[in-house]
Amino acid sequence: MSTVLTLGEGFGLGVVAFTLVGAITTVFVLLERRVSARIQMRVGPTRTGPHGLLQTIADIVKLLVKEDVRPEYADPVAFRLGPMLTAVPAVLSFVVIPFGAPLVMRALNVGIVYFLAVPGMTVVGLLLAGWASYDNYSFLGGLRSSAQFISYEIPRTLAVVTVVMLAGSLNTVDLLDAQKPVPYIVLLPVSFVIYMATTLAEVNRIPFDIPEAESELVAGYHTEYSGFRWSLFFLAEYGALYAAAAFATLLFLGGGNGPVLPAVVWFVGKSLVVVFVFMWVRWTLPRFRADQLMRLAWKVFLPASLVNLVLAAFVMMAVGS
Amino acid sequence: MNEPYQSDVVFLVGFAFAVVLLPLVALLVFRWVRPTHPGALKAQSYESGMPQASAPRRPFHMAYYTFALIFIVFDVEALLLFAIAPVLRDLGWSALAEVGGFVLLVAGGLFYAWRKGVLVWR
Repeated sequence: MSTVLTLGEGFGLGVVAFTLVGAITTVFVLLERRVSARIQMRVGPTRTGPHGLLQTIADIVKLLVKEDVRPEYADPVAFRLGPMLTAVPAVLSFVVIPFGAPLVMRALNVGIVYFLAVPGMTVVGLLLAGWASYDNYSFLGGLRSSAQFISYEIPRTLAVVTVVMLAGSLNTVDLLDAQKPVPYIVLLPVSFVIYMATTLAEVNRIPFDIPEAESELVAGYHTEYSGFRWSLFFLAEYGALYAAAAFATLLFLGGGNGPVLPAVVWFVGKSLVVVFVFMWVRWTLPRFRADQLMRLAWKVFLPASLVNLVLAAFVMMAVGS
Repeated sequence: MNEPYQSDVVFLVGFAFAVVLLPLVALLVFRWVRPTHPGALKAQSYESGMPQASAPRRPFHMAYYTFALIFIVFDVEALLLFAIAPVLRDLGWSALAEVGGFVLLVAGGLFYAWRKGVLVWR
């Protein structure tokens, strides 16, 4: 009986999460276009609706009724699987995000490992989409994406390990209580910097957007996709962007902790600031070359995160005991 | 939190089912709305307007393989660290020494790969 209820609860919240990601994508695409326009002294979309607010809604309708084109030699099964495998993990990662102390879809005991592991599956989708398309640009884009993704995943994971070490729990809700006195950005500034920089790479944003480098690879792994299947990639990108920002808020900025206002307001506010920083960086910096990108991951971020981990452990033991 | 983890798994199955189902339904429903006019030209792979110069299913750079190998080493290391990190404070200095030895061992692997020139993208 309770099993059926839990299953239904999961299904219901799954629908909620998918809708949420859809809404987030809608808002963020508009936000990104307006922010980028301001940074580059343009105006961005202003025609559709007041201040261009309906622009993305119009885009969504357009994408839904657009033809679904598939290249002749593309692998039919893998071509369909690719976008799904990219979008689904991005939505799945929302399960463990605590928007307020009680407002979490499911406080899994291994929430933090879950959050790192599940979006990690995205890489399979990217690789599959790139390979299935039977297109040179897609193929190279898919390969480079997966190489970048796995390279930056390690320093990012090691940065998160330091937080887990201090908090003494893998449950995302416990992290909020652990940060009640002081947010971890104060105690672990190096971990925060590593997390933010590697996260930019994980969500494929400039300066780490080699997978989509328009001037080199047309559109990377999603060159051959159109219509709704293409929009699934977009959903994944912006869903993952918000999830990563929310996780930065949770791990280092004290989540929903804050005076006066309710936790939800604090959490969403902080995470939106992080999202804005990501957008700011994207429209300010140039792009790394593919080889520079790999060198940075393995020769700078990885050693730095290892040293940071050992130092953090030593200091914690020395202070703690 | 005191519930058995099995109920979490059940929850996730329901959740994942919904997340997979929704886009599939959207794809099916809008099949009746969107146009479908396939053509020989449209079905070509995109290559900036030229006919495809070479088939994409071909051997690719060896470096992807070596990087993937090192990735597996460090990913497993990170996963093992997650198992001990939450309780490290309670276990004390001896545990830290053991974990430190383990991290050092794997870091030695990285140093070796570095010296061998595996980390250079040629």
